[in-house]
Amino acid sequence: MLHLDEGTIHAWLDGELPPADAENAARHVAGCEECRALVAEARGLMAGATRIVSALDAGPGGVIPRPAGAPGAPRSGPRRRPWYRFALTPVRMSIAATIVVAVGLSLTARRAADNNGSLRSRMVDSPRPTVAMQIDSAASSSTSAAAGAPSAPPASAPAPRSSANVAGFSAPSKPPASPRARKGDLVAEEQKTALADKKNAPVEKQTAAEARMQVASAAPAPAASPAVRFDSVRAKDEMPKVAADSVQRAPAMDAARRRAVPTAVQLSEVVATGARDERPMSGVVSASCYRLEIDSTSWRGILPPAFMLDQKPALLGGVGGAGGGGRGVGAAGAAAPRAAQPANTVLNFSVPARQGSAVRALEASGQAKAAVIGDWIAISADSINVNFTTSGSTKPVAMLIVRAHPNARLTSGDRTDSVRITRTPCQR
Amino acid sequence: MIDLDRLFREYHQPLVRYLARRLGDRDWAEEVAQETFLRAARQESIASERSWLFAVATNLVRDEARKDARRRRHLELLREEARAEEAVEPEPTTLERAQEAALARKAVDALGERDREALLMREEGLNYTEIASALDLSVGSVGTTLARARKRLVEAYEALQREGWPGGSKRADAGTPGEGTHAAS
Repeated sequence: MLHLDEGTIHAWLDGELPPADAENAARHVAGCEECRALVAEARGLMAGATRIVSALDAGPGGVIPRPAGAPGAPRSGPRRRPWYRFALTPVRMSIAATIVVAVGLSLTARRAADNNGSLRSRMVDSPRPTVAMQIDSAASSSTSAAAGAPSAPPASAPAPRSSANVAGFSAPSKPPASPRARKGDLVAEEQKTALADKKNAPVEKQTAAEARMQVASAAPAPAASPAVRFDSVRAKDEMPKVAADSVQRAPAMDAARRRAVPTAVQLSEVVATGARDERPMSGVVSASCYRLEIDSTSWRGILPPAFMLDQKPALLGGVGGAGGGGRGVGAAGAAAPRAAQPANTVLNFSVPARQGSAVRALEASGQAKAAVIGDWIAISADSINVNFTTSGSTKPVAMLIVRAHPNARLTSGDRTDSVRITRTPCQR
Repeated sequence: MIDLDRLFREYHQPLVRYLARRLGDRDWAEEVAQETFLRAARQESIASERSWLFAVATNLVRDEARKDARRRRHLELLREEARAEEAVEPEPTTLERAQEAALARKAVDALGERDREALLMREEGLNYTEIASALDLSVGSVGTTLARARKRLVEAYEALQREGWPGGSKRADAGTPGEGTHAAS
């Protein structure tokens, strides 16, 4: 008697045998105990295999890395969220949002720094601190800067711009409360707070800029708002470098160098010093003439093509440039009289005095015109700030000239520009 | 022309299950199933649809052929519809089930390729003729192939349990498939 083989038994149990073969198999199994055991075993194997195979269904998806190009390469399915189409996951969007916020904060901080620079410029411009123009012929960078007299008016105090005192510019009763100005005030407040925290810090570690800030913050409110220059936008960039350098070098200055008599004057040697340097500071700032290549720019007709930085105090709209306190003379200037300064080339800053000097347009012949069209100030060893307050623009124009830089930076209101500038001979 | 929608509704689920069991990855299985249906759509007619689909799917797994993107999207939509019709959410995979699946995967992988494919096709309900057609076997040899595959699978599973695979002891306590075999007998 032939027993059933396993294949036939499985086929019979699977119902895959033809009816005749199935009937024969059933008949054989019924009479064959050995084959019944095989059938029972086959049933168990079938059940066990089914159970094992069913256990595979618990396997997760996406667990086997597939080769690129293989059928079933990972791809976004329709059940995924719409942002998957843009490869934007919530995490990525969070990162992007963080970056946007960081950029925003950075821009805000930069704007605040702009205002900070403006404040510095104001403080340097401020007429009350004892600021000297020191000439050091022995070295081009022997500078020091220190705090000025506490009686100086705060530079951060609201003050009309010098343009308000100039004919042709309307003088507002209050300073314009522009967002930038308000932000500047806020920055000034923050700086005051920061400086108050630094009062216990060693003075030597303060930068000159901080020292100047301290002057401003320690100063009492003015009886009347002095005229303050409008922003010298880029001046701030030069200030910290020079100031920090000054503080570091000041202790190293020897007495001989301190007593050195200036024999020649360079723009790069013009620095601002402070009251801590108690030497009788006097200095001569040689005038320079500059030529602007504005013929092809929109500044034509607004600014003179050539101008002279005079040594004399600016008397806006005046004709002689003698006495009077220069900038600020006018409605606001009358309310805040200052010590008259000699109308010569020597500025003695041992008393609170303003630093600025007159700016005059040059004739085609190179001769300086009598009228003062603005004033200027050295804001660092390498840069000066020129304010054209009687220019052809409806707004004052500030110009930053940096030594060895071919372009001057012009700022008028929100407008900024760069114009090529060169030195030109002066005819006095 | 092939009625792709009908073909999909009728065979997608078993084909994906077969492929998932074969590949161990449901996502991959669905992708391969899509490719299978794409190829079906290109056919003028198919004599034995199920065996043809399973054969193509099996060959795709082997060959890792390329896919058709445009029709795949259509099939994805169909798949979504099919899923939407499934009211019952799949129950979450527990740790025990995952361990059991890993053990089963190991046992299935221990089979020869032809035995494995024949077994998985049979588990999806393919008859011997379809399996023979899909795997290019004689119908008479399918029973023998399945008998060998089942026996080796259970033996491999039990061997893995004895080796102490995760979940093995529990499964032994609850009754292994092999024990179930004896119990059934």
